[in-house]
Amino acid sequence: MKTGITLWCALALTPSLAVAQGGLTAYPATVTLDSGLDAHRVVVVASDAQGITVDVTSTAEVSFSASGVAEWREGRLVPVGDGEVFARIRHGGHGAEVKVTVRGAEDEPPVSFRNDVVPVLTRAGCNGGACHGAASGKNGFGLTLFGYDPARDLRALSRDYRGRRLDCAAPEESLMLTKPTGEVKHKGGKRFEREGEMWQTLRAWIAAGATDDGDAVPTLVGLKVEPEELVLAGPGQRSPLVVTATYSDGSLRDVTELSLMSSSNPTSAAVEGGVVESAARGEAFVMARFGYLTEVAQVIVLPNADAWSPPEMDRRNEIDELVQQKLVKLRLAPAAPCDDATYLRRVYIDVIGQLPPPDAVRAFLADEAEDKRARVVEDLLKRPEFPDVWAMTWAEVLRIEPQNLEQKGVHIFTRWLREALRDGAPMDEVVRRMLTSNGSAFQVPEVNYWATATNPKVLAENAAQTFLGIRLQCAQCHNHPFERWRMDDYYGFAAFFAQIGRKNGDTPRESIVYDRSSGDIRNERNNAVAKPTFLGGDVPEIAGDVDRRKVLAEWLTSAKNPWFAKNIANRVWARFFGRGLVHPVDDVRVSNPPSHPVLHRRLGEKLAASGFDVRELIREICASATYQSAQHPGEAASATYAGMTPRRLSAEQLLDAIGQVTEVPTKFRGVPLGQSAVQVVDPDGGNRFLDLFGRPDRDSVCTCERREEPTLNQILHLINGGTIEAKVRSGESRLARLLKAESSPDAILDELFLAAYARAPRSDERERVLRSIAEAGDDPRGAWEDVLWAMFNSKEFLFQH
Amino acid sequence: MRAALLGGALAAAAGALCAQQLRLVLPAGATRGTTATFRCYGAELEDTVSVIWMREGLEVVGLSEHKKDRVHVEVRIPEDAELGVYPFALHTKRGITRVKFVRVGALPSVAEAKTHGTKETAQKLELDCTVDGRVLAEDVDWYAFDAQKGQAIRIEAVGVRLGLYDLDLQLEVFGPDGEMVLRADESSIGRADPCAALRVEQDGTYHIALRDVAYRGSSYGAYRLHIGTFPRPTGLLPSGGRPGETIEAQLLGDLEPATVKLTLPDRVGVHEVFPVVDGKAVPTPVRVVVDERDNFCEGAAPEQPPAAPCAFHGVLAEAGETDSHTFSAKKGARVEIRALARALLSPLDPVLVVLDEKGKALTSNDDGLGLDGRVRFTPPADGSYRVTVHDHLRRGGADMFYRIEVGAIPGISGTAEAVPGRRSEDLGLCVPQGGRNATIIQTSGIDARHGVTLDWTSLPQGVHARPLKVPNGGIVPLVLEAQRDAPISSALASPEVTAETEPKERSAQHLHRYPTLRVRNNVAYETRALRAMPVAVTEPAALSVAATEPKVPLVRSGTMTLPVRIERADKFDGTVTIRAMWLPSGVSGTTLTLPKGKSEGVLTLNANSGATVARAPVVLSASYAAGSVRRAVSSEPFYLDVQEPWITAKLPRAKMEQGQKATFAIELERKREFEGKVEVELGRMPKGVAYEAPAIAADTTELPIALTAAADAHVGRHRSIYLRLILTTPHGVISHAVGGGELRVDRPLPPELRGDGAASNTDKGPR
Repeated sequence: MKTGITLWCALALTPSLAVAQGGLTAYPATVTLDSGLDAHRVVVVASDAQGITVDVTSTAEVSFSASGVAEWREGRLVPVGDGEVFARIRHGGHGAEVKVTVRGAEDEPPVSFRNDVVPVLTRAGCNGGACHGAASGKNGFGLTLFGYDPARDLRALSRDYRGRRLDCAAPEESLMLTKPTGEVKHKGGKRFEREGEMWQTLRAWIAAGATDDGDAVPTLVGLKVEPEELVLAGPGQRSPLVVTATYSDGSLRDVTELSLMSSSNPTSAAVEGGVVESAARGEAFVMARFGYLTEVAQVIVLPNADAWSPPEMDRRNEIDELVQQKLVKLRLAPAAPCDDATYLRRVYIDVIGQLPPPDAVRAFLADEAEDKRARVVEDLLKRPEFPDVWAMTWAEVLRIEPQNLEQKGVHIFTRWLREALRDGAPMDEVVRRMLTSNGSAFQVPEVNYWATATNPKVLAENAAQTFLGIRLQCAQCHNHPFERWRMDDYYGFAAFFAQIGRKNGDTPRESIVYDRSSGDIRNERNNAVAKPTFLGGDVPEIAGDVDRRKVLAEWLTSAKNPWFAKNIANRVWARFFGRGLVHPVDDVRVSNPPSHPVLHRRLGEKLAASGFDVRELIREICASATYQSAQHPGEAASATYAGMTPRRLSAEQLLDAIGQVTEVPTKFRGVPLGQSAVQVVDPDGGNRFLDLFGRPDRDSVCTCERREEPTLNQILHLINGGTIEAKVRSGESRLARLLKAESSPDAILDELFLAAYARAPRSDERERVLRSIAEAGDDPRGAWEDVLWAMFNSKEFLFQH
Repeated sequence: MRAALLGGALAAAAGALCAQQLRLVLPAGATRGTTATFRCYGAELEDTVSVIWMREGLEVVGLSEHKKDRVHVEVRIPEDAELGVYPFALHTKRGITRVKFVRVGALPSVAEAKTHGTKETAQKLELDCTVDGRVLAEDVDWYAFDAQKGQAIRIEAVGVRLGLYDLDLQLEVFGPDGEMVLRADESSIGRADPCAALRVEQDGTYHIALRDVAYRGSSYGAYRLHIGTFPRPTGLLPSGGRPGETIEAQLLGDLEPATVKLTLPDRVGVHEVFPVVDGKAVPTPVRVVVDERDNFCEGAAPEQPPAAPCAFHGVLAEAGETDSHTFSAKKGARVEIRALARALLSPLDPVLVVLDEKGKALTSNDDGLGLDGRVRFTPPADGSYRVTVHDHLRRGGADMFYRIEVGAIPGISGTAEAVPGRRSEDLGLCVPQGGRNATIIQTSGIDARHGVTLDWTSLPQGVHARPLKVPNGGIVPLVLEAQRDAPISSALASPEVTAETEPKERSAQHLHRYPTLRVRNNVAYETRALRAMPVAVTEPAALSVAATEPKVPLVRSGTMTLPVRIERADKFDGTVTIRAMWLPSGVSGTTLTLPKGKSEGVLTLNANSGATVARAPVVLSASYAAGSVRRAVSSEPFYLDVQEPWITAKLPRAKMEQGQKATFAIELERKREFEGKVEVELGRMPKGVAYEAPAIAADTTELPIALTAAADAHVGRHRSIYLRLILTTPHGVISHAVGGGELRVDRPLPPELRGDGAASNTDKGPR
């Protein structure tokens, strides 16, 4: 069972683990000082052999390779004269270097509206969504959210309100300064101090005439938060961060104080004033936002600095290797492997959404072959239920529902998906076919994709979220607050969907989709026609008669697309582990980084390398020790994958499972008896059980529509709802069959346990159940029904574990 | 527009003619040369007396099972009966139903087995048969047949085309090894009905699973399933010719290529024909166009470009293909070009482009006729022009045929039934014995200036029509009267027009389009045309209605009361609802309800300021409940004369203070001379203001009405003051209403401001 371990043990350690060798690192490695007023902080971090990092900035010794260029002053590099020099930093016997380039040491450049004033407004919260950055502004004063349109902000400051917000003759009297300092009543409270750094910046700009520097100043092109990874031992550890912005002229600027910072997990690591402070054991990502860019740094908090050596871990493939690298960092031992019965039930539910039948359990448990786990996966992948499960999963996020589609469309589109998956059509081809489809929605099933929405903007948002995992919605009205997406990106992407033509078909219910080869969408920021632009900024050349969707589909489904393969792989991963490496799977953004970046990338690469064969990826996942692990005995977070995290069966799985165990199938509205909940194509199936347990209505492409949280109604329904009662009491049930066949109580119990739990009863369970059956006397049916009912209410049944 | 305006007023009448309901006919068809019993299900059918066939050829040999919800009709189908659809309605003693259909086929009919819902219980069929079955909700019907390798099998289902239910059938065929060998869903020939062709690859038993694609079957979900070795083309090349011409046509879209000789019908129009190959006819028809044009097939173009009218036929066999045809046209002679494809059941979605000799595109069209294309253009010069056609999605295929028609813009002339508010499928007219009933006929292409009178022929025995002159607008009632002893029978009536300028009668075409089935949002799924008016004599009605023709006109912005009386038959004492069946544009009328014991009442007619000035025939319709059926009779037609106002007035904008007097000075103008007195009334005067109007003489042009405001008169600006001018003439009362008056009532100024001129500058209106 441990084949393949040696291969992956030989893999080189990742760069991040290099820090664990011990040493000193100074951040950033390169600094430019571009005027006499410039300064750039440096953070010096020492790491020990365990990889634990400690901030030593204040105690490090700094010298320079040459004098007269730069100085070290209170943790910052400041300019002295033009030139290039290396700052040599030493601490505890280790050294590090920072390359410093000083230009224009004599210059005192004017304050830039775009690069200085707007960042101050952002840092002070003026243009935040809760204040003047709201769509309708606040108290008659509106700024663009996080300053996405500086020209409009300048108008608001200098022209609106009869120009009373600025007073160039007496800058200190400007409302722009007196309001945020609290000198004049300000509903938003005091935002900064009079005479403080931010105040000085704004005052200087007003005094200089409050002009826009437009294109005259370099533009922001990059952002970096350093150290990119901190490993802090124990609570209360403080470690500063430095945020460096890169501009189009190559200059670097320390924007730590102008950045908005937040932590994804403050209980482990909080951030305040650019300094991270550790708390409980765990992992956090600290996000820094400056301008339109957002970047993150990873912070791992260990319980203490004691030495820890990792236990021997079962590694079967690259997945294990990459998951275990993180476990080592977190000092977590993985859970033990799960037993055969657990594995069989788990893999049946995850791959085909059904419980293993008792015969299959018996056969599997009796099988002593080494490869039986791989074989069962192989068999399940060939089962017709496999495409059913995945067609349903995709149908949810593609919004296949009868409000927008005709009933017929719902049926034939779902069937098309199911048959494509059944026939092993590569996922990139499936998506490509949908995106490039033309014709009648009744004759070409995939054309129904275009019926799920008609507005090009909505189509663009849906495509980005469904196929790339990117939520673009925010950027329709303003730059994305937690991502790099700007309005220009949004409308550039939406332009791919601007030329979709629709017309009625022969019959009143039929519609035809075609390429109009004309039509545009306008960017609401500047009312200009948006040119089709891929996310990321590349602008393809598209001839007039070429269907824009074809160009989009080629780019989107390309193996080189930075998101597509990873997104599909992550969705597959999430199905098997209950959470994605990026979680939620359709919210990929810098500020929501993957828990295992390398694994995330590798899964995408593997999927692309296999020709987007989802089955291949599933084989590898199911073969991994990570998937085959039992529940973690400790409190390991589910994102660590140290053990399998139990999760409630989905609505469909649960209802089908109850039907399977009782052998009483559920009749769904509008389809013949015999179809499973997974096969029902209409989300509004009129089944209360499915509604109650979170079957999505398919109102949006968001995976969040599937509700997984427990509710009181669910519990009540399980305790005394009609679904279980009707099936348990049915005269056509498994129980009725077994009793009719006069099976022994032992045999009946075995059968029920195998059907519900995929295992034989333990001796204590057997003893308790059989005692209660014996007490029931000659008519044990009622007692057996109680047993079954209790089993349905047990966690072991309700959960995938 | 007119129908829409009046729709509301007469909507309640809509139910009157479809109380007898025919909803389902089982089986939906039968084989020629047999006698079949069709079970007709519906409501109020117990007194069915006959079948009104809309097409000749079948003979009813017996009616049985007379029950409220059903009647069985035994029909003899002659050996030489034409294949196809036979529309019919049921005639009961109290009315007629909507039209439903039976189909006559050539293949032997097989009834659906009771249980064949699984593959294991599949109903075994012999090839070359037609199954009459039903898909119920969530139903899957399984059939099995044996076939040998190499056999060409065609399977066609007719579901939604039966006009019973919005069925969307799909069929799947499974081979002897259990693998699905084909799935058919939509088809060009059957729209939502599937049509499949299968070349058998291995001997054995094949299974068919037939169901609604979304499991939406119904008890109305009848279908006919044709299975066999018959030809199943989707169209013909050429798909048209001259009346009576025998053409040699290729069958398109079938498994095996074939050519047939086909004699076209004599009558101009789009026809459904049943080509026969090796003695086997197609199960459902293909369409051909019969007209007087010259026809040219692709690849056989004449040396000289033909002149309009002409037609071109072709197939877009390859993807991306564009076909081009050249014709000659004269400068200034307007031309209509139509690309027919979907209308002929071709899968093609044609796009038309017209180019001049130099290749410059002059005009183009994609969906001018449904999905088919139509352009109208005026040639800028004498010469040849090119018309090209391609598929909108640039598809191609062996069955993607088209017919391009080039010719003059066709005129339309004829009649159709158009009762406002009534659905077009509620067609036909029931005339009670000894009574009278009416419907509304919309004429087109009949110019009222020629004094055309519309009459009707081929009426049932004992029924005669009241010929009426077609007024401007072309809408005229058809009023039929039946003698007391007229037998309860039915007939298909036809219009006949006589123009004063022409000495001889001539027949007009009656063409009434009605939907065979309505689907979501009541949209018509498919329409059929009926070329005659079904008329049925019913048992005597319980009343007659009469109105006195007004001797005076109804003027624009005027009102008229119309006394109405009914004569109740013995013992009938029910409530009667009376309304005008149709009124000219801009005229509205009230509905009169005469409860038990009442036989007289008054209808009020109102003309708005833009009402059409014309003299138009009007009939009143009186309806009542006869058990659970609503029956109706009509009055004799009478003429309503809508005229311009006889007197006009101009109302002032006046103001006064509380407790003061003022004058409301109205200017009058007599537009015509008349005898009689004129009285005036002011309407919507504010509370507390009294008026006194002076007497009006024939030459009065200024009418100063003295106003007196009480001390507590309602203060404010009253803008809706109107004047009612009541003209009492020797022939009747003509009531005019003139609006536009305004009266402002102010509070008096405080004493300290009076007389110092302050009021003139500080007038802020009512306070």
